[in-house]
Amino acid sequence: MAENTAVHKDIKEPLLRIEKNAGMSKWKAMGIRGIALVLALLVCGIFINAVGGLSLGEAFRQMWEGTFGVIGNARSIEIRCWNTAIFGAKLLCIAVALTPAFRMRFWNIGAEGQVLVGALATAIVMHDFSDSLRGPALYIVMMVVCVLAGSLWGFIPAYFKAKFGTNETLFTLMMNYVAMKMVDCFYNLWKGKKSSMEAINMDTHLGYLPDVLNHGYTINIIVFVLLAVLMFFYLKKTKHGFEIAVVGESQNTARYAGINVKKVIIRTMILSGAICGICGGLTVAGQSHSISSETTAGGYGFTAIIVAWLAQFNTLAMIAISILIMFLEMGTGQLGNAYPAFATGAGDVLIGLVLFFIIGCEFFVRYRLIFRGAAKRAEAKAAKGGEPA
Amino acid sequence: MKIVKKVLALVMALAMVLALASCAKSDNAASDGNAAAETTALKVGAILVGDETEGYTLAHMQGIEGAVAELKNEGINVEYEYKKKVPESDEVAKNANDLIADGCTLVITNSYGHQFYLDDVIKANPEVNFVAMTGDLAAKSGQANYFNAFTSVYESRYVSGVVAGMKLKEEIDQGILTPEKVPTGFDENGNIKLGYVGAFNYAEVVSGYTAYYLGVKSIVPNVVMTVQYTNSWFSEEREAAVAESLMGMGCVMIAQHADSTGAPAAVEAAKAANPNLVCNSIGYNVSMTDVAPNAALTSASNNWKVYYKELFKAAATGAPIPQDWAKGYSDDAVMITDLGQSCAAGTAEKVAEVEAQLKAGTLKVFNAANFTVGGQNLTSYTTAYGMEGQECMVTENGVTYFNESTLRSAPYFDIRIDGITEIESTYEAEA
Repeated sequence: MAENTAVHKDIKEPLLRIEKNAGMSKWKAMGIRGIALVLALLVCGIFINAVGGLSLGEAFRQMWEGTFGVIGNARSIEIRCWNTAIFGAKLLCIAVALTPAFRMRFWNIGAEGQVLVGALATAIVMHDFSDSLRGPALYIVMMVVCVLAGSLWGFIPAYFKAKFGTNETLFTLMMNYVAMKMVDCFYNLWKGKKSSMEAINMDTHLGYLPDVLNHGYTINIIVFVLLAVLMFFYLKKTKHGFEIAVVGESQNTARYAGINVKKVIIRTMILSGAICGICGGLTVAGQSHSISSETTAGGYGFTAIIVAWLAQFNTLAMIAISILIMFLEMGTGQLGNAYPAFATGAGDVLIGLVLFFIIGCEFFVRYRLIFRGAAKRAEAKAAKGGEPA
Repeated sequence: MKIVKKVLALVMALAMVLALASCAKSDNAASDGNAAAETTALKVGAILVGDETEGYTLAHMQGIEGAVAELKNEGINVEYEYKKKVPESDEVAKNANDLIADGCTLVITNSYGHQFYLDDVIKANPEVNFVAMTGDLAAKSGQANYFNAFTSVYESRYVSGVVAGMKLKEEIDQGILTPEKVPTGFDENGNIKLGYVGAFNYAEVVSGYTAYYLGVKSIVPNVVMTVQYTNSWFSEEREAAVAESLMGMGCVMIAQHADSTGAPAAVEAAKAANPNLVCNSIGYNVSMTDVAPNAALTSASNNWKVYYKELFKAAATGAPIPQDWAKGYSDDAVMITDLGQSCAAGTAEKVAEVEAQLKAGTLKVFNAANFTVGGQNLTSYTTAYGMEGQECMVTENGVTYFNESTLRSAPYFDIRIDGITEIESTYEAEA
């Protein structure tokens, strides 16, 4: 016994220990995030100054103008805000689509592909069936096929995961490339001998969403935001939402509670894929009127993963995060226009820096660091005060 | 202690941010002051398919900047903003909107395929003027704020053909290029083989290679030409590979309608490997003598500055802009680049003579007497791409010719004439 105690005492306490921090107050957590944002801006300021020789204030002004328009210029504000709104809403929609899967701890990183197959299905209907299907029938078919295609792309990895326990991360990732190549294939087919593909139904505008408030994509924005709200209630208030949460916490608990885990996995992934499919279909019908493996999803399928995580799977918080990401994306784009030093690469560094700090600070929210000696001091303090540590 | 440290750090951080921000304010004030001193008459936004590393776009940028500099001397201040590397996709509309948000009232796109994604933006912004360079939809669209422009580049291609012809003639006269010495360079009828690296099977390319061929033929009558496509506007790799394939067929002159230096570099490399090789190169857009000092003779080129100056001036002063603009040697809008060291003696004099004739309008590149289709001289042609039903053959002062770039700025000569063979591309098309 005595020997054991001696050995125990000889183990050197590490300089730094990490401990899970369960009961942090909301205000303290927000404070940590605030500090991270300030630090991020500070480091960005130093970087901006070193690379472009301009101040953080000027950079911020450029980024603001790139996202929300030049203050005092109504036309500029109108164009930029609409632009930010549609791309932000699209990003939001994809993040919302990922959320139920992520809540279930099903790491769906195949949103890019699910958006693309939805877009492709709608594009095929617009391209090849615009003449046979007219009026409302065309729009109905366009929307049905994008939902079906997206759900199929969600169903396949979910089925394999549920039946055979395949790794969904790799599976959904690979499905992205299949979708991209399919889009490339149709793009080349429709392009023919030309250098690039013309917009689908350029002359007839068949299958284009009608203009609302002067924009063909206004309907997209409304649908995307509506989906975020609906998803919030689906996850919080419905039985399905509860089942997803339980499966995410522990599959064994779920099974014990009588939840059919396989069914929940497949059903949730079909939902996830279907929303991505809608996003793709609406993008083609309302916004781009063409397809491209590079711009139709535009990498938002991957960016949305960050959005979903940063919002901690709260679909309403995702609205704010999407606007932040848009600010970074559109803003650095404008910065690159105004200052050649930021034309390529440097803008991405800024985005990376901000995300690094924002994501990194979550570590300090979830865990706390205990330095060597801190525990002793606490003990000593406790001993002095005669209270338990 | 911990809290104090944290607060201190926060305060310091904020102080630094504010300090940086206040610097920015004074910067702004300074630049605003400068801007106020000179009034800007026009802000131009240009959507470019490439950037300064690619000859075609570089030529446009030089044209824009040259025009801006010249107008400044005339007291007209033009500002410009570029959007580089914009693909021919819905990115065009996004970038056009962005330029308008930045205050541009004239938006230019420089690649043919850009025009397919401009429609909505043009309709939504009637107060902004749009020019689709090399495009062909402006007149058809019926939009008053939509314009097309293209130089009569076929004229400079004809002149580059004359340069190539002079070189071939010199080689024949010196006895270097004979059926005995270069058996692969001649076909079974004793015609000299020419090669042409084409980008796409478009009217624009057909018009260009035919003009070049007729230029060579005006000096050396017994020539045939093979055109092979790369299905890409810019690909060093493909252009080099196609040039090598054409040299392999025996072609003794390689010209191009594609934007990279791939073809001349391949000819230069082949010449370096075999000093006795009879082969030279004619480039496009920019001088190729840097990459091919021995092989490059000259390049057919545009002087976009002529158009941009006219356009900017009209837009800045509110003067009408021509819906379809096409000018050539008569206005110095096209040219060939400086002659390379391998050019034949007397080339400069011959070029000056031909250019003078083109300027004066006495020489018609597509003179019907100089080419045949199926053995016949054309008297009528009404099926040009996009101009179906319109008569393109006109007779003036007893000369019947194809009126290229007069009905519309973008080229529409798409007749396959005798003596030229096209080889389908094995490459997948890419922008």
